Parts: sequence; C-alpha cells; structure tokens
Amino acid sequence: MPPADRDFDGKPSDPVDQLVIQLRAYVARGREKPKQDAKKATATARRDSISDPDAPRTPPSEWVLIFDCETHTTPDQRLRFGGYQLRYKGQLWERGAFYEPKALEEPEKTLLRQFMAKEEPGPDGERIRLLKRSDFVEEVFYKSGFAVGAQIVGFNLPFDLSRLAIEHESARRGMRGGFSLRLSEEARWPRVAVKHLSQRAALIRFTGLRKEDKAEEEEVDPDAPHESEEKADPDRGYFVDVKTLAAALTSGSHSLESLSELLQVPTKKEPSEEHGGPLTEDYIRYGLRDVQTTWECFDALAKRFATFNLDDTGLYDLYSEASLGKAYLKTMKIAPWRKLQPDFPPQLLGQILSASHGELRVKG
Amino acid sequence: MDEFERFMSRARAQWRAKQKGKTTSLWGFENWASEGKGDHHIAREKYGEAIMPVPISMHRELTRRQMEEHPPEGADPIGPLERRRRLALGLVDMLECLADGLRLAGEKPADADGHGARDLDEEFDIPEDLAALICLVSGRLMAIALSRMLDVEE
Repeated sequence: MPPADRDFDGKPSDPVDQLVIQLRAYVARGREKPKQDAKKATATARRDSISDPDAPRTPPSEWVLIFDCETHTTPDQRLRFGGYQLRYKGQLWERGAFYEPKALEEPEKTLLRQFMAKEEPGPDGERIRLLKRSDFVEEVFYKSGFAVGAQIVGFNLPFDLSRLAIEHESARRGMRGGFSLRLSEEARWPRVAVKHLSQRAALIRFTGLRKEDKAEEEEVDPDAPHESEEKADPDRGYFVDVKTLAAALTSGSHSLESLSELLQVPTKKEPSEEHGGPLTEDYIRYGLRDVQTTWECFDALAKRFATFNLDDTGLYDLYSEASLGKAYLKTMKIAPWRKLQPDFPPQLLGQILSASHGELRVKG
Repeated sequence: MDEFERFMSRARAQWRAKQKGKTTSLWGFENWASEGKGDHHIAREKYGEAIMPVPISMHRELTRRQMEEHPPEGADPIGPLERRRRLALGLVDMLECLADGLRLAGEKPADADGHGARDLDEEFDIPEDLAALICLVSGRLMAIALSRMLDVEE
C-alpha cells in the first residue's frame, strides 16, 4: 500500500492509516420481464401466492415420529441400529428398533432380535417391531411419517437423517450449500434436503420429486422463485430438531443430557461408555431410552410453546429466538414494513443500511 | 390388514384430503346434502351386482377402503365364497360410516352442552341424509336376513 501522508500548507500532517473498510450493500430485485406465455404467467402467480409470508400453511397432523440412530465411532460414523416411536395425539402407537444389516455382526443381529422379542407393550398397547433400515425408511419414515403429515422429530436431526441416507449430493436451488439425502430406493419418495443455518439450526425439508429428464429441466421457468422464497407447502414435511427448538425456547445450547435435566423429564438421558463397542443389551436399552427422552423433551417444549398462544406458528418454524419474535409479529398481524411500503426507494434503503452499519461501528 | 394398518391407511387418506383442503372426516358428512348421490357396488362390481345409492363423498371413501384395505383375493376370485366375503366387507364399511355419522351427531349436543346450551335445537337432529341412509342399509340387511343369502339381487 503506497504512503498516504500529505502536506497541508507545507506542514506535514499526521500519518493517515489506510484501512480496508467494509460496506453493506443492498441489492434490489430487478424488474420482472413480461411473461411470454400462459405457463410463465401461471408460474408467476404461483410464486406470488407462495411467497406471501402471511399465507397459512396446512398444519401437520397429530402424528409424531421420533427416531434416533446409534453409529460406529469410526470416521464414517455408519449406522448400526436405531430406535423409534410413532405417536398419535401423544399416545404411543408403535415403537421399535431398526438396524443396518451390513453394519452388524451376525451375533449382534441375533442379540437385537432376542432383545426386541422380549419387549412388552406398555399401557398404550403399542405395536413393537424390529426392522431393517430400508424397511424402517419405507414403512415407517415415509408411509407412517411423510404420508400422514407427521412431525418428524429427533435430537440433532441432520445427523440422524444423514445416517439413514444411502446416497447424497449437493442440494440445489434454495437449499444450495446443503445436502440432498436419498433415503429410499423407491423413486416415489422424495429426498430430504438439509442446509445448516448455524451450529444450532438447519433447514430441513422434503424435496420435490426429481425431474431427471433434461428436456423437462429446460422447461423450468427461469424467473421462478428462488427456493428460499418459497413457502414450504405440506409436501415439504414438518421436521423438528429438538436441539434447535430448545435453543429457540431457552436461549441456550443443550445436549440431550443437559436438556433432559433442565426440563426435568421423567426419563433422563443416561451416559454410555459402550459407543463403538460390541452390541450389548445395555447399549440397546440405552438407544431406545434416548428416543423416549427425546420425545419427553419435545413434549415438554411443545407444551411450553403452546402457552405462548402463537397459533399461526408451528414448532417446525422455529430456528432461533428471532423466529419467536417474528411469530409474535405475525400473531399480532403486524405486516412487514416492505410489504406495506413496497415503493420505498431502494437507493435510500441502501444508504440507511450503510449508515446503520457505520453507527454500529462508532458505538462499538 | 390388521387394525393398526387400517388406522394408518385412514390416516394417510385423511392427510391426502387435508392437503386438498378437505379438512373434515373421511366420509365428508358436511357435503352430503349438496353433492348428490352415486351408485355404489357394495362388494365391488367384480364381486357382485348389488348396488346402493350413497352420497358421493361416502362412495369415494367406500371405494378407497375396497381398494386399499380389503384383503387379497382368495383361491377362487369369482367363486361364491369370495362374493359373499366381499359383500360382507362392503356392508361392514357402510355400517362403520353410519356409526361414525351417528357418533358425530351425538357429539354435537355434547359440545353445545359444554358451551352452556341446555335446549334441544334443530341442529342436533340426526341429519336427514344420514337417517335416510340408515333406513336404506337397514332395509338391505333385513332383506339379507330374510333371504338368508348375502349376495341378494338388486
């Protein structure tokens, strides 16, 4: 960087530091091109309808699927077995375990079968099953979760979803930067896209079904909304990461253990020293117990959230404390400023944002 | 299909209806008065000719149950055993619909009672369409009992 000292009236001034500064930019959306045909006009109408943040979203059904995976401790952290519960209106309808056949030795599979065969239904008279991973994905995750509009619940859900995946690739469009996970061999079931927003939150949704055919791909409207602008419709699913939910409602980062302590749930998380070791009855019990703990934490947090009377917002909509603030504004029917004053000059908005940035710097 | 799978099958149907904006019961009771009727093959057409006029929404759900919930065919799909079995299953579905309708009609006054109502109002009557259907199904069952045959001719 060249010297910047200058003389004023022949007197040397104090040296001036040349520093890299940061600017905040505001990019206005370009003018829309006139639509050439009815198909594009329809796409625009659809975009306008789904971009409306006030448009009501179909709430989930009263089913909840909770699951948790136990993995190898090797770098690939491959799935060994997992536990799940399927609940309707809170009542336990089905619970069980699933396993990855290739990841367990034959004696371990036998032990798992024997353990699950000894399990007795509780007071709800639930069905108990032991399934292979692929059957769990097909029969429980999709047919009893996705297809009935269930909330799909887990603690650190992105990790558990990725353990169920048989294939992954980079997500596209609005979920770009995340992963698209394929869980089933069946083409009729959508993939799951996961995109991390922070250490505590991730966007998770079912993708649309793929149009692999290139000709069809070309028919996609180039002016169609960015996927992040799309309001998630019911097909996108209702994923609730209890870790994210807890962070939003308690303003703290929690492990399942610390959360179960905080919420004083009946089934507290218990530590295990058996991760990665041979499968034992205690370790299977530990895995199934984690599912129950996750459910109890979810239930306690859901009850806490219900006291806020934010009826237009679901647990699956909460990503941080800010989501709660937005939910209150929504409930109070306070429309976003840009929606009320769409013609506000974008240049002025850019200047205001830059000034705000400068003010913060001075204060800091 | 066991009880659990039947329940899940209905939950999936309910969710599909909800996504299409039909948010009430699978039988669509609230549409009965306005939507007209269609002839429903009680056992499915391939298993018998017996038909009954039913509301369109009910017809849709009865057909779904026939396709999704009824068991696979037996050894002789066109034999008398299969026909009788399918007719019985079809009648079961219709009776379930009537039971659900009556339950709904019974819950209405209970809800009103919870909200302070004390007088019996017209809205608590069993809906006319439901009452008519109960008579129709009852008549069919009586005919079956009298004839001692399940697959009666229409």
